[in-house]
Amino acid sequence: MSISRRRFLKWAGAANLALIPGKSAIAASNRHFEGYPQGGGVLFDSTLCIGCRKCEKGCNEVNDFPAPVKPFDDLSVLDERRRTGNTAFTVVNRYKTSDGSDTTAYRKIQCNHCLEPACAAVCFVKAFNKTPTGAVEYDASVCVGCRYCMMACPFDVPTFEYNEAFNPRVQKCTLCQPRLEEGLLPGCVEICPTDALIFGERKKLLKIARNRIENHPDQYIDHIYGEHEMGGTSWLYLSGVPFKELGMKEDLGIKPALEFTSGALSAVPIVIGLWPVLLLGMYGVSKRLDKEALEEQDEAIKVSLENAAEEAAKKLETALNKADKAKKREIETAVKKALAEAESPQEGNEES
Amino acid sequence: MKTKKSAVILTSALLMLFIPYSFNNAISDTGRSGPDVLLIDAMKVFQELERPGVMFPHDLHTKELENRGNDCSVCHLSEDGNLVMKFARLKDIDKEVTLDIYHGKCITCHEESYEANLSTGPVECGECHVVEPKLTASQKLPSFDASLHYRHIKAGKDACDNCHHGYNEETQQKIYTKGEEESCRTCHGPETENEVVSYRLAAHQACVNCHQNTADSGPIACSGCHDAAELDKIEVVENPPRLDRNQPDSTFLKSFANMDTLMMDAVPFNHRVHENSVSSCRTCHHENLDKCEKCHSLTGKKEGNFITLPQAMHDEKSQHGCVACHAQELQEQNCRGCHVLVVNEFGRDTQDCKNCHSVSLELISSLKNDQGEVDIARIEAKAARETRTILKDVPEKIDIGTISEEYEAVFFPHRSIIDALMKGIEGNRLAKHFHQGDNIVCASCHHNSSDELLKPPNCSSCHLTSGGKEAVNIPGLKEAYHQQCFRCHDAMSIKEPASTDCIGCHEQK
Amino acid sequence: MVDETKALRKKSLLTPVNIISGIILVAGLYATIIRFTQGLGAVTALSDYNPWGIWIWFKLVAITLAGAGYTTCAAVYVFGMKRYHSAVRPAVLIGLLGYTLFAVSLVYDLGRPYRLPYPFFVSQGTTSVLFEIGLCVAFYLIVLYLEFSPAGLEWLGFRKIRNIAVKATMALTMFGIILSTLHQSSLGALYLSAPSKLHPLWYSGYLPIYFFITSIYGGLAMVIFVFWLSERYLPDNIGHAYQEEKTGVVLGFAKAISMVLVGYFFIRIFGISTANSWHHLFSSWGVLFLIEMLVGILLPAILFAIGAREKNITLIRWTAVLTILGIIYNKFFISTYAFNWQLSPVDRYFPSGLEVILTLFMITVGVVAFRVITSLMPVFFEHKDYPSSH
Repeated sequence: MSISRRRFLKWAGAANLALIPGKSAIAASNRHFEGYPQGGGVLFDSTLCIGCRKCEKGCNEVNDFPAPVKPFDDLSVLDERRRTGNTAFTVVNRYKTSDGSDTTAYRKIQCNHCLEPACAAVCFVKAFNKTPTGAVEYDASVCVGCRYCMMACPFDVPTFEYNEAFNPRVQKCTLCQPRLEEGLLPGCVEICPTDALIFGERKKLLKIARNRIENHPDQYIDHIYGEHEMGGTSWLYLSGVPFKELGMKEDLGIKPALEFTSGALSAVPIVIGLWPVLLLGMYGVSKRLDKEALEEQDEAIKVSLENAAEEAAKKLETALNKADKAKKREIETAVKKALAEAESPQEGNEES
Repeated sequence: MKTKKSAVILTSALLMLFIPYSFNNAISDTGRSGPDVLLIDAMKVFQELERPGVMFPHDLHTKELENRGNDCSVCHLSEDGNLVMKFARLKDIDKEVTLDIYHGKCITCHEESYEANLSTGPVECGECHVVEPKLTASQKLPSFDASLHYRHIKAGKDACDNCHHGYNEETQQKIYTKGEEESCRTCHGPETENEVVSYRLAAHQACVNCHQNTADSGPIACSGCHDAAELDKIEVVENPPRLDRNQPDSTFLKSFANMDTLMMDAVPFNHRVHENSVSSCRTCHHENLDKCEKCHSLTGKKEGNFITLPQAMHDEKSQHGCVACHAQELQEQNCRGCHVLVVNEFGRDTQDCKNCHSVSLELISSLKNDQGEVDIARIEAKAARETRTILKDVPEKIDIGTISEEYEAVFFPHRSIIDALMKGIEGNRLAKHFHQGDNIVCASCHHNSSDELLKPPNCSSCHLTSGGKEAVNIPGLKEAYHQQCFRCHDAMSIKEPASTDCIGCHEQK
Repeated sequence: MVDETKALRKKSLLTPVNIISGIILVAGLYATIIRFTQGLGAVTALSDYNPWGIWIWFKLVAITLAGAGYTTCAAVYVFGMKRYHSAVRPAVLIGLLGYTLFAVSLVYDLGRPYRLPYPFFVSQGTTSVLFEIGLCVAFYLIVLYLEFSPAGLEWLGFRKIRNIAVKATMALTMFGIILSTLHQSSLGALYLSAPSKLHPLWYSGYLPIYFFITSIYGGLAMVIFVFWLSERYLPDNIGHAYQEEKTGVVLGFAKAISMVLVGYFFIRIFGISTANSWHHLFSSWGVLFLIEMLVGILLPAILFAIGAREKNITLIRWTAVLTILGIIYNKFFISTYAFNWQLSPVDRYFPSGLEVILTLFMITVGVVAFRVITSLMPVFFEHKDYPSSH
């Protein structure tokens, strides 16, 4: 099965054109996205949070979710560790801290609206979008429900409507995008009684956070969680105890999720470009080797045939020579005999 | 079949590679941690240790030797009638000799005891030089505080030279000069250097020998000084008499810019009161009893580790300076409520400096009495009078009415709260000194406002009633109230009303 | 000849294998109905912490073992090893069924399977590895079906079209190799996105390469395994050319797999080294990892080498099973057990009964399809009209 060079080039060219991705992932570059210029964010100050769960209530009301089984002022739910759910975009958890036997701290869990979100990077239908307001938006109208976003989110935030048979959606905090567009605050921020949550431009929030740390160094851990984690998040956290004690992962690193797979993706065009060359080369080499093997075989046959002919000729010669000699000897013997016979009767005649 | 057999053997060999993992390498040896366990790492003065140091149970050995009718001299040499606390030698000479001393004495004794069928110790290298020893040392360091010092003075009948000595380089003799007593650690550092033995060695040499030679005195066993439980049992003398070392009762801390101008206003410093607040002189006089400026000059010098005088005084962490120690006091429950709210004192506000740097050169002169001495107590009394004047006008209660559609007004018992705070201040001398003047007590809640505290500004002048889209570091009114109240309650461990108990403070409408 | 022998034997359909297959198929159909009427939650034990479960495991294993298709075609057409020619069609069938089952499993696993065309036609998420997998798998499915079409066309008797299809083999093979390289490695790249969730002994920047290599040796081992089963259980389908070449195929593949396994063993170790995860070996995870390395990779490498040298077909066959189990073990850890390893035990995942049934269902469908197709179409045997096709 041979393939003409022309035909191959035609196909390879077409394949390359067809497979060029629209926006290629840049593996090795110095670009660092620091958020849209006016991108908003929320600063959560754990030292101010009293675990009253008003934020959960606010979120529930703003999103028109059904009332939960246990009402929001039932603080006994804080005895268990909870996570976000289909109708609970945010939850507050209580953590025992190592300051002393009685000390507790609280943390509010919700989508962190990362600057370079993992969910957006891995979604193969581009259902997630980082908007200029700072929110990471989810578009349920294209979502296929593959749940890669849930797998990739380092904060385990998105939830899935597993019990919905036909139109299951991924659910997560929306940063109240519609409210933001009307100039209102996100539901949780507005209702928080202690200003543990403040909303504003991310850049400004960072300055405020640094200010707080500088002014009260013994009250805060000297780190703003979310400033750099996973490339930076819009939700920033301050804490008086190590973030690990609030159940937050401290081993995430600062690389945005996108960059984990951009290396692998950037290899795709290389494979598409080089593999045909390699494969054709191997095919060509193997064919060439086959051809040479055949030629060698032919050559070997020819040579052995020639040798055989030569040998046969030689054998014939020696045989003929032998036969010649044998014949000559025969003739000589016969002549000798005849001569001998001829001489002997003469001897008989002389005696009488 | 050959291949099957070799395959089986190969497989088993591979599998055996990770059998070791399945064993938990716990030799169930119950470990012990005690004050009598010593780490023998004498070789480290010569070279880096080739084997781990030996954990040596001292009590075990003294008891066993006692049972055999022996005493300390089995292991310890004597010099001038006193035991030398090093093991079987007077000093470290060289590596080989020291090694031979240890191995020679220890192993020989253990072997001989074994021959004699007595209980004995290890002889193999690895049994003494254990990599992960189960026997560990835990010595609590005793605090030779004023009380203990006084008891020693009494026991020694006021003979300071029992313990305190200096050293004459020329005559190479120990000498004693009255009025120049220092702490042991002024000369005896953590490691032996040249002829000056380490503090540890010196202390044991001095203390243990004296206790041994004096009947009915202090402890000889390790645990007597190094065991936490036994340390607690040591009798404490309340308010021991003041040590006289020619120190001033009070002074003014000042630095001169030139002949007659100070760098900053002087700090009135009541030395006498501070003597009672620290465990020993070394808390502040951490190297010797000289003045701070001797080593900490204005620009820093080698003796002071290049730490300048201002740094030494104001460092936020070092217990040797003023600020860190006072800052620690702010963590007391009575103080925390307000002090978590105010911005960090250290140099944010020029007002802060005046809390200490409060006395000008002219005032110093005017405060001197006929003998040329200054009585700082007069300054303190004056300020205290001013504070009490304003507080009697504080209102009884206030209704914080501008809240929301959801809740009624808050009944705020202003007077009783101020009274409680003042009680905490009055009971604490440090607090009294720093809470002088008109506005200090009120300033944590009525912050960022003028001195006219009888008519404090309306909170909503700065704390707007609605959240606002713009993120600024000023909370809204609701949030400000809540932050203020919750933080103070939390810091002072006030459990009721709980922060999450909304109707505890304001009724539902 | 094949038809005559078939006619001579009277076979009942109610063999034990068929009965079990039947039960699984029925149970699977029941579970399917529940899945598509009541949603994923009714059928699986998936949760918000564990969005992917054993169906992903199945998909990974299926695609890895379906590498039989492109590896065998590469050997025969690109490297010119004509002595394996009789293995091509069965291998392509394995590939085809593997990928088809992958697609079927995807339909079950996706929240909205009716939106499968979306990433191609509606909204392309080009930053996503899954997008690239989707594209490549879609194209490769077409390639597989086209590669297998000669067998189907011979069975149907469409001579002209069949001849055209056969001419495309070389191009299809090359295209298939390119696509397989891309998506096999991208399946590994899927897990690059979650470094904090996958245990460091299994997480590596080299995951794409690891997955690609497992597909090579897994595919070849799968060929050996399927051949064994086919000879044992479907002897009526086996033809002349296959019989002649089969020993050569097994021995040749064994040699190849052995070498690939050794290389793979070393690059796994290099992966641990570059990540400096040595200390993880001294934990219970380390024991499990070493089992995979020593019993799942190194041991088969040695046994394949021994088997090839001693020409011990039985040893090679059992080693192929061990290799496949090693792949199943590895993908199990990556997709399920070592994933979310730091989560508290209450949040960890354990599959539900219906989930397991549906997985068995998909495997059974594949097996049944394989049996039916190989008995009808000229996969293991040559069609009488096309004697030279093998």
